[in-house]
This record gives sequence, structure tokens and C-alpha cells, in this order.
Amino acid sequence: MMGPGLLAMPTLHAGIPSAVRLREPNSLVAPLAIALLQANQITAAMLKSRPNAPLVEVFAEPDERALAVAALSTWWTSIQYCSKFFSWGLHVQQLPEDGYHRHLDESTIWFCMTRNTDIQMPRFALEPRITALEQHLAGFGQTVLAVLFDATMYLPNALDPWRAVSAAQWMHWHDFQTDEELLEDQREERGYETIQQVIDDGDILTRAEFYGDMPRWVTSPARVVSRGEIVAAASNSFHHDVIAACDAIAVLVNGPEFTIRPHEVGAHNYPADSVDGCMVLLWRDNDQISRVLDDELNMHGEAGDYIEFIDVQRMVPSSAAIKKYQSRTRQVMQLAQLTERLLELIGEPI
Amino acid sequence: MKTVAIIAAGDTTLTLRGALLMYQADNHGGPIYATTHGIEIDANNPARRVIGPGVPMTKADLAEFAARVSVKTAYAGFVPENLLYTAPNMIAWWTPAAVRTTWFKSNYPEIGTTHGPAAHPALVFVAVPGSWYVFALRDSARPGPTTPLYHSPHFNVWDGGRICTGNVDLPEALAASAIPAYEDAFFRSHFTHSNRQTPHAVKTKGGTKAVWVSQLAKPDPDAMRSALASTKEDLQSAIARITQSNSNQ
Repeated sequence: MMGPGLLAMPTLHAGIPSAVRLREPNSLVAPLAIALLQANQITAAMLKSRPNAPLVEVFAEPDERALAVAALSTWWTSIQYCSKFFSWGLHVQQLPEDGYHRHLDESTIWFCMTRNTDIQMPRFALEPRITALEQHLAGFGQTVLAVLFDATMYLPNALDPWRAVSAAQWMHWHDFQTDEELLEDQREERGYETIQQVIDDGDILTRAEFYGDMPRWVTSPARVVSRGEIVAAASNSFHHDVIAACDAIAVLVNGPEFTIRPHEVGAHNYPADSVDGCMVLLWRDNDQISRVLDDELNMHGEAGDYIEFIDVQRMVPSSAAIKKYQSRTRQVMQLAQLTERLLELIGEPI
Repeated sequence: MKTVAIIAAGDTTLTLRGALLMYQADNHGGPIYATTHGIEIDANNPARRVIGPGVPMTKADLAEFAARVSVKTAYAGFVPENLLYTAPNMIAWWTPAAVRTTWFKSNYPEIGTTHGPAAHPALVFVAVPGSWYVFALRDSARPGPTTPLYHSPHFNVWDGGRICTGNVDLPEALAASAIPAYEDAFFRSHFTHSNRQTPHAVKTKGGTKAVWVSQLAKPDPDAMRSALASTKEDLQSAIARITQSNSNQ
């Protein structure tokens, strides 16, 4: 018998593909392409055959998927800016309506933004420079923090002190108004004899512990001094740059074209919890805010049904829906750019 | 240009990984010699791929190939009456409510290491390769596809119903004949601690721990039934979710 090693080894015919994409028949692409066409996002140039295209391409039916990808990619690229910290990707996909793997509504598509994980997640400590502003003029730092707070509400899944306090309420404080009530409940629940045993357990985070190293106003900053007072007190280029960065944000979000609302941004519009965010804002490195955020994300991760998107928007494709999404997302990107500038000034990268 | 991808549900990319070459004489029906090969990049032309050197196909290769081809093959064997659902890589069955001797080895001071009779609700088990799941039923009757499921009140069960196997040895076979072995693994293991993140896995104040403290004091099927909290899933939804989760692993 002839051994197999002696046989001439065939090469692959040039027509054999190296990969095959199994595409299930679906109702995603055609309605999306039509909606993009009606929203003037598919241009005549995209429909033209490239120069010297083979006849097989010229006479082929339009590839709706390729047209939709070209249209969305062109638009998405057009709203990018030269970012320092934020790097996000966009894709469109079908998702189960209920967050689990069932009840797929084929008339619905989801626009999903993800953080580019090739680069580090932006992480900032706010305490050093906000405190410096406070020391220059009482209320300066808090007022600037209030501007940042307003801005982050419109950014996709910012992991910040304001989210942390909400998570702490959910995970630890529940409806208890005071640490004393909380600790007594936990003592009873866990069968301990003394409050100290509950504290020694280390599992309960009290408000006293959470706010141990930061002022209470960090989680509920207010504009406690006027712009005029701050401008009058400004004495160096850092102060003036911070004022300018805050002014730029205020001009954008108070302008007539800024129409989005906080609930329209983020991953909470999908019924599964996200385990990612566009950035992390802490008071100090490894502080209680960090602990609470870590605990919350771990909890979502361990629950199993989670998403890694930072922004998810449901859409039934139509010209109006495409335009509305594009308008919203353009405003988010504009605000992200201005927020980067403020963070560059008042945040210390960690 | 930043590309925006479009991903349709069910889309899958299959990459060319190997080739199966078959040698046979001109007279069909004669012997066949088969070899399996990897696909390699042509050293002279990186854009081109070639079939790499192969090895004779073994019986094990053939068995794996056959298993992949026949992944849709129906279950073969006698169907026990408690079997609810079967697929090539999944079985689901139910077990009626019962008072069972129940073993604990927990760090909860109220329970500690003990055993005793306790009421268990009717349960649905779903087993897939490497994991298994448990849910409770409100009524001790064979469930249908739309029967609502409740959180199993047992310790060592994660949210979503997955059972923390710990050091329990699971049966190797994933077939209806393994059901008794699975049930033994569950009911005869020591329950140690709650794996729940969901605060409302049971309606009882004090959570699952309080349920078992009470049951160990006095088995009470009605109290167990009343303690059950809905998962907001029905049987077919849970099976669809577990099937999807299993196929993603």
C-alpha cells in the first residue's frame, strides 16, 4: 500500500473561502437600509459602482448590509473628535427584548456603544484639584463639581460618585435613614449580640464610613457661589481655564439645540445590567466610591445576565428614528469633548 | 473611517480550520482511506492557504466527526415519565414535592452541620454539559412549557438557577438514564451557603436561611410552597436561556 506521505498534497483552489459567514435570514438589514436611505444617509456616491468594477458587481442587486454599514460608518466617523480619554465604538444588533435569550422582536434593532478596550478606561481622582479650588474660594470646587455632575448625566454610563451613592443606597443602606438603624437591623439579621460585631464583620458600609474621607457635598454638589464671585476670585490661568471649561459646557447644555435628557443616554435602557462605563471618577484612589462601584459591577457580573455596552438605544427603524438617534449621539459626543477638557483640568489621572 | 458593524441574531463566522481527504478506488464501494489535515498559510504566498500535512483518520476522529454531524440526532432510549425535555446536550426533568432528609454543613450558626427532614417543593432540573440548574414549582404536578418557575430555595444555587457544584461529582452521562444520579448528587449533598445575589429569592423574611431553619424545626410543605418567589420565567423560557448560554460557552 502506498503511504499517504508519498502522495502529492493538493493546494486549495483560489475560490475556496477561508471563512464562511452563516447569515440567518433576518429582518434587520433591509428596514435599516431603507430608514438610512430615507434619512439621506445613503448617498448617491455610495450607490455608484466603483471605477472599473467587474460587471458582476455592476449588475448585482444592491447589498443592503454593505450600504447600511457604509452609511453608518460615514456618519459615525463624522461625529468623532480628537479625543484624549474617550474612545467608543458603535454597532447595530438584534437583542432580546427582555435581556435574556428569548423574545427577540425582529422589528427592533439596538444601537450599542462600547468602550474601546484596547486603551485603559479613563480614571480620575477629583479630590486634589477640587480641594485646591475650595481652598482658593469656598464653594468654587463644589460649584465646578456641580457642573461636572450635570455633564456626566449625559455621558454613557459614567462610573462616578453620584452613581456610587445610589449603589450604596441600594446595596447597603436600603430605606434606613441612619447608620444606627442600619446596624441594628443587620445585628438582628445576622444574629450578632453587639453592633461592634456587625462593624467588625466588615461587610456593611455605613454612611459614616462612605463619607469618612470626603465632604458630603461631593455626592450632591450644588452651585453655591455665583459665576461672578468665581470670576472675581480667579487669580491664575488654572482658575480661568476651569471657568472657561465650565462655561463651554453650560453654553452647550443650555443651548436651544441641546435637546437630550439624561434618561436617553446610557445602558439602562436595556433590561440587563452593564458592567462597563465610559470612565471612573473617584474622590481619591481606592476610596469608598471605588469599593462601592466595584461591588456593584461584580454583583452584576456574577448574576450572569449582563451586557458590556455603555450605551444601548432601542429603535424601530425609520427616517425619524435615525435622525433622532443621530442628533442625540452627536450632542453626546460634543458634550464628551467638552467634559474631557474639564476633566483634564480638575481630574488627576490614576 | 470607523466602521459600524451590523450583527444580526444568529450570524456566525466559521473559519476554515481543516480538511478531510478521502482516497478510494475507482470502484465505489471499495475500501476508503481518509486523512485529516490542518489548513496552513502558504510560505511562498501568505495570502494563500494550503492543506497541511495530514495524519490517518482514527476511529476517535471519525467518532468526533460523526458526533458533530449528528448533533441534531434525537435521544435514543426509554423515556422516563418525569423527563420534560431532551436535546443532544440537555435534559430537563421534574421531581414532585416531598419531605426529604436534608443535609447541611453551613457556617450559619442557626443551622451549622446538621441533617433532618425538611419539606422540598416540586423541582425542575436542567442539566447541560458541565452545569446544571434547578427551579421550583408552585404545584407538585408535571409542568408544561408555559408553567411559571420559582426560585429554588436551596442553598448553593446561583441567581438564574445554576447549581454550584462545589466538590459534588456530577454524572458523566447526559442522558435520561442519569436522572437518579443527578438527584442523588443534589439531595444527598451537604448544602453549605446561599449563593444568591437576588434579595427576594424567597418571600420569607430572613431569606433562604430562615426557610431552612424553619423547615428543620418542623417540615411544613405549605410554608415551603408559600415561601416560593417567582423567577418571572416559564419553563420554555428557562430552557431557551440555558440552551443559549450553553451554546455560547
